[in-house]
This record gives sequence, structure tokens and C-alpha cells, in this order.
Amino acid sequence: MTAAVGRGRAAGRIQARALLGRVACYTLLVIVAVIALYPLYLVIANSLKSNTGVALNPSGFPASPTVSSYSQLVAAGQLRSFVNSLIVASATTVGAVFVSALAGYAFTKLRFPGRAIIFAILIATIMVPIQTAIPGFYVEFARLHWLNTFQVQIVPFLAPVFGLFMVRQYLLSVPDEIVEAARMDGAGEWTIYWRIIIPILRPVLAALGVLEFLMMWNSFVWPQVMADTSNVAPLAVTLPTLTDRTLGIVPLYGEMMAGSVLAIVPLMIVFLRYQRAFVSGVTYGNT
Amino acid sequence: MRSSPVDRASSQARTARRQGGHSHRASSLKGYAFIAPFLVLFIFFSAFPDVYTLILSFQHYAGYGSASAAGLQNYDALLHYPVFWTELENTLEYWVLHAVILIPVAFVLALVVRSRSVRGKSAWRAIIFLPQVMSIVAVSLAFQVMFASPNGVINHLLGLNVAWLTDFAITKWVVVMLLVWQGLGFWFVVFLSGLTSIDPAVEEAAMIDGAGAFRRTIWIVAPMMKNVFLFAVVIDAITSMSLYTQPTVLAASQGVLSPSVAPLSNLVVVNLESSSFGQSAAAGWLLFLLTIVVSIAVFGSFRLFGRSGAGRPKRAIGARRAEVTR
Repeated sequence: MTAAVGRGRAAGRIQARALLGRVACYTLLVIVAVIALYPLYLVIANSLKSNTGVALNPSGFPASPTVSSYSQLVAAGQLRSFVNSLIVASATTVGAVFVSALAGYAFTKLRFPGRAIIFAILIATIMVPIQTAIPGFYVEFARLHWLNTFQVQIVPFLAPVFGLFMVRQYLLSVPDEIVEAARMDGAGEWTIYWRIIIPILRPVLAALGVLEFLMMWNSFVWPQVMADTSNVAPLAVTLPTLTDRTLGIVPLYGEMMAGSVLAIVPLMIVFLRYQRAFVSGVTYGNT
Repeated sequence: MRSSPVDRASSQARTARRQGGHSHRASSLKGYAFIAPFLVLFIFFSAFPDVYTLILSFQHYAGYGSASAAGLQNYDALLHYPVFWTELENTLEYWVLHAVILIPVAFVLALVVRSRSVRGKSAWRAIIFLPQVMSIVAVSLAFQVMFASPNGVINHLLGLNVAWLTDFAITKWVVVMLLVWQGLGFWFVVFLSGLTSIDPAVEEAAMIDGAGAFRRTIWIVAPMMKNVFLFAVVIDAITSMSLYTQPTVLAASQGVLSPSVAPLSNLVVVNLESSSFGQSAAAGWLLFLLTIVVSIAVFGSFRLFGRSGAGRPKRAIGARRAEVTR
């Protein structure tokens, strides 16, 4: 009997410890969730205040919500920048996915002399930071008269080596027999690519597309250097420059927060729609 | 990596060659045609600027007229420039300070979300990942509103008057906070997917053996995640070397970032804007060299650390497994 009581007490202790562990886990998660979500709340709440409203009451909920910051944002021509961001990010995403898939297929399923060495050279450049070659790029684009254009923001990013790598890794696990069989049936390479390879690649292309869109939407140093005139500059470059010229360098926080809402919405839509692709894109190098 | 597909490829290529030249040449042409768009773009917008920047770094060039040979003068000037060392130090500080917080916290969060006592895993995962999909500039501006002085959120809520963004010794920590806040979701998801690939039987065996949750994590789970840790630390280090957006948006006033908080990549931009292309190019290549040196150092220390540390847990798992089977 004493043994049974002891066992009961031990079980109780284990239960208490499990409960404690559970409470600790949820406490940590709630704290992290609040910290993760707070800036999002801050951006939305402050976008509904005027510029002075943000200075007077930066942390609270807007006392009398107003869209004045949004209308000022429009008056400051920031919708143009928003559209520029959309054009650059979408065009690059579509193009880069297409070009990477084409090359990824060839590097995996077609044979040609120099295949291995070309691939090795491409992969070797993956560690070069974007800033390294900016001076060379700048001089090149100045001579091409590409500075302050859309193409300077799009064309250099249409051949992402990491995209090629992702497609190739994925195709390595696809048996060659699928391609061989189609070839036996007399399908041309283009038909094979378009009818067989692209449908197989769909998950990895979604992941790549989402990553590319995120990267392009976040690009900052590149457009700051290459395309910062208002007709082509993206939101990322124009938003931080929203300052009150008459008062010196005072930042217009209401407008900046309204603009930040604009900058966040497309990414949120892409994230909610393609959450699975996002996560698999993120974890790609890892698996 | 995997040798079998490569072997198969080369043997097939050999048979193709034996079968006769014509079809082989035709399929080669198709291969080149498929890689042509990628390769052309790569040559003009990656290989050429990389090499051209290297050439520029050995020249004096002001953007007009002709360039003149400079030998190592650009590099020499940069290395004798105090700002270079300040910004190098800043870059290394931003990297180390954010990584030592970010990576352990991300790992612990992944453990917590994976643990059996937590429900609603996909919702937690989405929330923790969310900062990753908020535009970096928008987030940096939100942090500016939070840490502005005197009328920022933090000063307002805590009744303080700290010059978060103008006292540069403090600003560095705000940048670190931003980097941690922003990167957490990414590495959390990476660790979570690494954890789910661990065979639960291994941990169960240790549990039967009486190992507590803490000991299981330290001696069994963490060593099995060694490659994921290596991946995380290396990639995080590489991206940290070219850090630029966050400190610039957070702390620049009128488009000028003080060297006291600027990362090394700022030297590329500043020199470019003052049209000293040679110096800017030299800064760019020094940045690349730094990236290589740091990633080799991280790799090396992992190997060193791995050899001395990972032997024990492995043996421990082996012993425990043997006990369980007995």
C-alpha cells in the first residue's frame, strides 16, 4: 500500500512538472508572439494618425483614426513608387523562374560538353555579395544608359544562381527514365520541358518564385544606387526619404507608416496564399 | 554529392558518343540552347561586372575621361583609412552580437513548438515566421518610430528619454535587436524542419533510459542537428557581412550614415557616390574577401569544435541504444 501511495505521489510530481513545462512553453510562445506582432500593430495603428499624431502618441491606439497620412502619401506620389515596386518584383519573379527552370533542366537532364565545369563556375560565384560588383555594374550601366530605368532593376536578377541550384537539386531526384520515355515517344526537348518537366517542377518553382519576390521587394542598396529617381524608384527607396523639408530633416512618421502598410500588404498576400511554398523555400538549402 | 546520377550521366554520355556523332551533337546544341538565356545573363550581369570591378579596383577612375593604373593604391588607401577599421569592426559586431542571440533563441523556439505539450503548431509557426515577410524597410521604419527620441514608443511607454538612435553606442544595440527580431522566424523554421527529420525512436530510447528533457536536448538532439547549426551559422555569417539596409534606414539622417554605426558595405556606396570608382571597387572586393575569410573561419571552428565535442554524445547514444536493445 505504501508503495502504491509512493507511486501516486511520484505520478503527481511528474504531472505537476509536465504542467509547469506546459505553462513555461506557452508563456514563452505568447511573449515571442507579442514581440513578433507588435511592430505590425504599430505600423497599422500609426498609419491611422497624422504626422503630429504619431509624435504626440506614438504607442497608443489612434484616438480619432484618420486617413490623412494616406492622402498625404498619395499626394507625395508614393503610389507611383508602389507600382514601381510591383512591376520590378513581379517581372523579375516571372522571368527568373522561367530562366532558372530552363537552365536547371538542361544542367540535369541534357548532356553537353562542359556541363559540369560551367555549373561549377556558376555555383562558385554564389558567395559574392551584391555590393562587391556594384562599382563595375554602375560603370557598365552608365555606358548602356540604363541608370534610372526599370531594366536596370530587372534584367540583372533574371539569372539567379540559387534558383538554378534549387531546380537542379529537385530534378536530380526525378528519374531520367521519365525524360527518356518521352524522348522514345518522339517528343522534342521543348515539349518535354513544357509538358513534363514544368508540371513536375511546380512545387520548387513556387518556392523559388516566392523567395525571388521577397528578395526583390526588399532590395534596397541596388535601387538606391542604380534607380533612385521617382519615376522608377521602388517604395523601399522612397519611403525613408519622406521628411518635412520645411522643418529640416523631421521624418514624417504618419506618412512613413501609411507607406509601410503599402509595403507590407503585397508580401502578406503572397505569404498567406503560398505559405507552404514560403516555408519550403526557406528550408531548401537545409534538406 | 550523390555519385550515382553523375556516374550514370557519364556512362550514358559515353554510349551516346559511341552511337555516333550526329545525334550527340544535336543534343549538345539543345543543351546549350536551354542554358543560353541563363548563361548570357550571367556573363553580362554577373561575371563581367565582377571581373570589371576587380580591374577597376586597381585603377583610378572618376567616371569620366580615362582610367589610370593605380596598382594597390586603392587598397592601401582604404586600409590606412580609420573609417575602414571602424566599419569593419561594426560589421563584425553586428554579426557576432545578433548571431549569439538569434541562433540559440531560434533553436529553443523550434524545440518548444515541436514539443508534445504545445498545440496549434502551424499557427505558432506562422506567427513566429511573420516578421520574415514584412518588408525590411517598413520594419526598419517601424523600429525608428519605436526608438525615436524624445517622442518614440519606447521612451513614451517607459517614461525615458534615451537617445536610442543618435547615441551611436546605443544605436548599435537597436540594430542588433532589429536583426534578431527579423531573422528569428527564418532560422526557427529551418531548425523546426531539421528537428522533424530526426527519428523519434532515438529520443524515445533515451527517454526509456531515463534521460530528462534537458539532457536529451543537449546530448542527443543538438548533436544530431550539427549540420543544421553549421548551415545556419555559415549562411547567417555570409549575409551579415553584406549587411546594409537595416542600419542605413534606421540611423541615416538626410541620407548620410555616420561611420560609427555604418557597416563595411557602406564604404562601397559612399565612395561610389563621390565618384571614386577605384576605391569603391576595392572596398567591394575587400568585402568579398572578408566574406570568404569569415565563412572559412566558421567552417574551421565547427570542424574543430565538432571533433572534440561530438564524440561523446555519439558514444552515449550508442551505449544507450545498446542498453535498450538488451
